[in-house]
Amino acid sequence: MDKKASPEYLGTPNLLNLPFNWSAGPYLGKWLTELRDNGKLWASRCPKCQRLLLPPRIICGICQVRAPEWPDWVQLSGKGKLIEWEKVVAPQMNPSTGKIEPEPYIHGNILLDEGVTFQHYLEEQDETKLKKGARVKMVLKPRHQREGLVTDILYFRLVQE
Amino acid sequence: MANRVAIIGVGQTFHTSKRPDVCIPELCNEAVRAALEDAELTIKDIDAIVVGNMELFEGRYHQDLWQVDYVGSYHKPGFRVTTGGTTGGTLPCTAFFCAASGVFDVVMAVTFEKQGEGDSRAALKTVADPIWDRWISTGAIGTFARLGSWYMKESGATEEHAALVRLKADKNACLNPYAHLKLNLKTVEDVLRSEMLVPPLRKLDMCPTSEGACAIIVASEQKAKKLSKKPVWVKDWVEVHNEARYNRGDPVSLENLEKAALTIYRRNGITNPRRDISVAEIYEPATWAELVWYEAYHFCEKGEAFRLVEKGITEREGEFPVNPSGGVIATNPIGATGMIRVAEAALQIRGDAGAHQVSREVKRTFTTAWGGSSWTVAHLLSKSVD
Amino acid sequence: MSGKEATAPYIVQGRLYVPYFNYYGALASEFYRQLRDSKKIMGVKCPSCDKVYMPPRSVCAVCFGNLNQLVEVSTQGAVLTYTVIHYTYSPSYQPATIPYAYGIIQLDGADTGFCHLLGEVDLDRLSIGMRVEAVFKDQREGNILDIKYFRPVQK
Repeated sequence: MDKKASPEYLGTPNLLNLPFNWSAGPYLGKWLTELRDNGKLWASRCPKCQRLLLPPRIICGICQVRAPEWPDWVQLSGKGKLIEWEKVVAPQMNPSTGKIEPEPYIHGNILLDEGVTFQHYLEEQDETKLKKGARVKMVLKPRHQREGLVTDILYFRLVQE
Repeated sequence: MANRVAIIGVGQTFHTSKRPDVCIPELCNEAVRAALEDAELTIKDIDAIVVGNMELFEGRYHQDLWQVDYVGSYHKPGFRVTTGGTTGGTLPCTAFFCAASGVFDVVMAVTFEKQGEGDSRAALKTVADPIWDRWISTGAIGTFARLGSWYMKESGATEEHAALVRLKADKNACLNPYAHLKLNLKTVEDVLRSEMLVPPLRKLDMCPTSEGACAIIVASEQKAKKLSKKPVWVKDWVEVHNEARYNRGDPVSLENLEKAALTIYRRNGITNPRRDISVAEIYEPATWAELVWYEAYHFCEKGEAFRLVEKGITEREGEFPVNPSGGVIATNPIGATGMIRVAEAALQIRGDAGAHQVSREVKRTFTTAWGGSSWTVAHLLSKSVD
Repeated sequence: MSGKEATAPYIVQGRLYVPYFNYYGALASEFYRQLRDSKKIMGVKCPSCDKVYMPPRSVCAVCFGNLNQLVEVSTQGAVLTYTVIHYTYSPSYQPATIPYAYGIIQLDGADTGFCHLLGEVDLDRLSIGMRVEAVFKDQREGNILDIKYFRPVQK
């Protein structure tokens, strides 16, 4: 077939739209339950290298040793300092809904006081007010709005200390 | 002791942002035919075929099934490999393993990406763990912007240095018939005029989304010597993986890249990479990544990468050419990108790269692939069998 | 977890919802254009294997030849085999409401069978070898459902 004689290339829309039920397992499941029901943030500690694992998981990927189960976890204060942040300005599609997410928003990398980093949204939308090392604290959704997801944490708020 | 293996044929398609004239298997078929022609073989000479891409971008699954006719795997053994951004680096390793094991004599690896068929950023977000952080994940652009601002602070490099990397990439891409973006950039100002995405990262600092495919043919030593006039010998390869959650507080994660390079160097007596390697083709999705990763790969001391660029050392005709093909900044069909590095390196060793061939003799090449969580794959190819 | 209190399983309900657009390529574009514009069904001929494949493909799996010679096949053919669907799994992925039938149909002039719906037929009276003909949609869009279904040949 002469390609030049057929300039119209056809195709078809293809919508991937499938529901899933993902099992969180006992570690992450307990972590999410504690966040939702008690507003508590936990990490587990590797018995060998002593680093904190956030979210808690069954094994330390570096030492390959089993990490303790709840309640032998470390409760985190939800306070820390801002290491870095990025302002997301390009519109992005949420692959769970197909909807374009509101932008811009600011996403921060936070070093919690217990010595483990955590990434989440920042409340402050004015970049000029952000400083490396600034103190931040976790803000949760009200209890009745929490669904047992990491988004039960609303964002981290700049605080004066 | 494994058998020695060689690359005896390479093929790739031209690259662009959209190829409505071909479906996915047809795109792969173009690369397969190019590799067979390059090796002067027919599909009957191939014993096994490994295929792969980074799934999610096209919304089509079990691609190996749909590709059978088109990659020539009808009634032949083979399998699909997919390791995210490193797929194109892992797939040659898979072919090397197959031939080195002695199970197969001649193995073909085929990989592609057709990013124009989906929403690349939404697709990339589906990589994130849906139970943990898919809800709050961000994209790749921010990662490389962070890398840029971190590097400027650490080393004293400026945006002009990133622009020099972009100029080098474009100069080389303009000579490469397979490259995607050919912009004829002339000056640093041409780059600095480009739209700012996330400071200090501009649109031109970032790779494009490309469509294209690549195939290579790998043979055992005995077969390679029999079938090929210019076999390119595979000296070594390494894949470095880490745990996906790297909440360790490092703003920049270079551990895997360094580990991959140092493992290759140690096992092959490389003590001075710029002297002992003739050409490098590295996976650098952004200008800032190229700069920072020169240091991670020990091409220079920490904080010195921008000096290499300033002095033109990594230009195509410089002392140590890096990405004479134009690299990933000019062409990024994600699943194929890593393998294009290997194919381009093989062409440089053979002296068959054409207009973007470096003029010095190419004895050894270092190639890499990079992907999510900073996974790194590296290969060492050689002109001589020993 | 023997000897310990079992933890209640924690399930996260989620969804993947991502839109794509897949191109047919040049050969299949021509197939769908003929179907949409002229209600013609085309196969592709492999000259070295002397076979007509329907649906068409641009490479022959057997001889690895490039195929580009589209040939018109009949809109009538025979049912090679069939099955009747009695359950609903995912409405967005099912082209008809239950009960409905799929057939593998070999069109006259083609050497291969292909899958499509069977309609206007008593599902208890389906049979292998049954002669069927294509019923086309009025509003055709360039996809395989431009053929609504195959029904028993009207005499």
